[in-house]
Amino acid sequence: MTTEHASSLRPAAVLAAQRGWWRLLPLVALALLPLVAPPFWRSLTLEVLALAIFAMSLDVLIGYTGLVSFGHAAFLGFGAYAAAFTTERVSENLLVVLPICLASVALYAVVVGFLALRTSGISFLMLTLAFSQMLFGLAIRWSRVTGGSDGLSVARPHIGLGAWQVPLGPDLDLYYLVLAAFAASWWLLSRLVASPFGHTLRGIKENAQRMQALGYRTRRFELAAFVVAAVFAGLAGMLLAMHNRYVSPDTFAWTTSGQGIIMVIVGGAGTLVGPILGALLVHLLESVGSSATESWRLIMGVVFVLFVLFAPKGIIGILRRLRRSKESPRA
Amino acid sequence: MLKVRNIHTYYGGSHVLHDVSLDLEAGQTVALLGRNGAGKTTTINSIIGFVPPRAGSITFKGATITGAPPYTLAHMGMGLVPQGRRIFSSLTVEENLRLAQRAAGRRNGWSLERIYATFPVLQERAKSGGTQLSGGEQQMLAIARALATGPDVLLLDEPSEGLAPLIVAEVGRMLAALKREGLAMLLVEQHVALAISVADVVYVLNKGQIVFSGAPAILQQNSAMRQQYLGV
Repeated sequence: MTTEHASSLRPAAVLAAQRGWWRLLPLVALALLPLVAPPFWRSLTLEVLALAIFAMSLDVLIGYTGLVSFGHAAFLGFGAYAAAFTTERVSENLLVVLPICLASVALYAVVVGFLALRTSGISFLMLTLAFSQMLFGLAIRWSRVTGGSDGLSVARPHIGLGAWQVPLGPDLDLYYLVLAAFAASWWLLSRLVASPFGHTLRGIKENAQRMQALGYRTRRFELAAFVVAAVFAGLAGMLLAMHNRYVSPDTFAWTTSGQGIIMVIVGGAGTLVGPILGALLVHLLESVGSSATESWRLIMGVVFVLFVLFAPKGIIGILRRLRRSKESPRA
Repeated sequence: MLKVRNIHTYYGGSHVLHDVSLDLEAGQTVALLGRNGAGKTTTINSIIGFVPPRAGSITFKGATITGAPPYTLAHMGMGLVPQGRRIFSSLTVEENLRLAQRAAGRRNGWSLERIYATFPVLQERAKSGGTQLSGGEQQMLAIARALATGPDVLLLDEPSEGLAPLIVAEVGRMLAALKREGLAMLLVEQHVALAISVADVVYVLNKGQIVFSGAPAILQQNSAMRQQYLGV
């Protein structure tokens, strides 16, 4: 607390710079991590970063717009399959693969969003689930194109610009690609939710009818949020597919959507940072827990229930409460 | 300016408004009085398009707006101060106001300067979150937010609800000031004295039907009717 007192005496600009610098620390640590950590932990961190993009994108819907989608895995999987198709049939150049993946996910999200957003609440939740299950079924049944339950292999892309070619061969390069994508997503989504558009979404979450009475055509804004969230989920899917060099129908499974919701709720909805922590916790539980015990799902279920009952605002909520109880005796 | 003709509104199967008609002319203040559950808020919800009437018609500035979505009405110049002064609590005072200004789009809403000049308390609280405001401040913000969209008609749903007498008097002065500026208002109230003090015309609703319409002075003289329908 003494450090806080000292810093509060400094000019605001210094304080702001200091805060901004502190924010970069985790990124610096993440950049240094693969140089010291063994491959297993490097790979795990990469997965957490990709899932964190997925969880943040879902938070834009759940935490900021008030749309609880139970089919967000559809876009994760769509991005993954789009990566498989594009690297197989079009190009292995990331500068080609990336825009094709994101644009196709956006297009698909416009269709799903247009239909699903005609409803709200439980109906919206069920419709988004139905659309993701539809893709799940398609991925299994349409085996001539999707490889069925065997899935498809995904080539490691390279970055090519004319004569300038950088292969993303070893795992280290892909790690930094994912880290860069994570940092960019975090920055972009933070800007988005703090922008006028983000305020509009928060208004819609609080009361869509009242936003309409102010003159907002709320469904258009909801659709925009839906498409943005889908594109970031698609980015996460593409990165995971490149990391695994493989994509299977399981990506579309409703359990993936459910895990996304758990990441958002456990981390703290409407905070962006919370879902990152949620992704860390859930993925650690899954990958470390599943190798230790068969009943890791049970553990995850218990953790989720405990959070919903005792910390509905998630990890971030707990941290904020701790900080407040530390400060209040002095205030 | 606003004509409501013989509307019937339902919530699901229950028939709430029976053949309600009312008129609001430019620059006029019309009060809609009645007990709890008389259908006052339903009348507002029917006009703004939250609950479209199943029969009857509503015209605004000469155009038929029956069943039109709320954002269309907002764009045409209808402002709403909702019941319970529901401001957006996750946003600051200034963010609430800017949100409303952006909604106005090309139409000219009130500028922040004009709003702060009219509601000095909001300028002091500009950076405060919606949850940190007192009831009176929230009500001022709800009114200011509607003004930021630049309305020609303001629908106010019980602006005095739950406020201390001193604050109610302040709301009354605010409404009188808006009236002097030429803003047309439809004021739904349970606070009879407040409504009568600013209204040009008073309607009384009882069980979803209009049982009185006329000058406020007439209602004031008719104590039997006030007792029967308003309980005062």
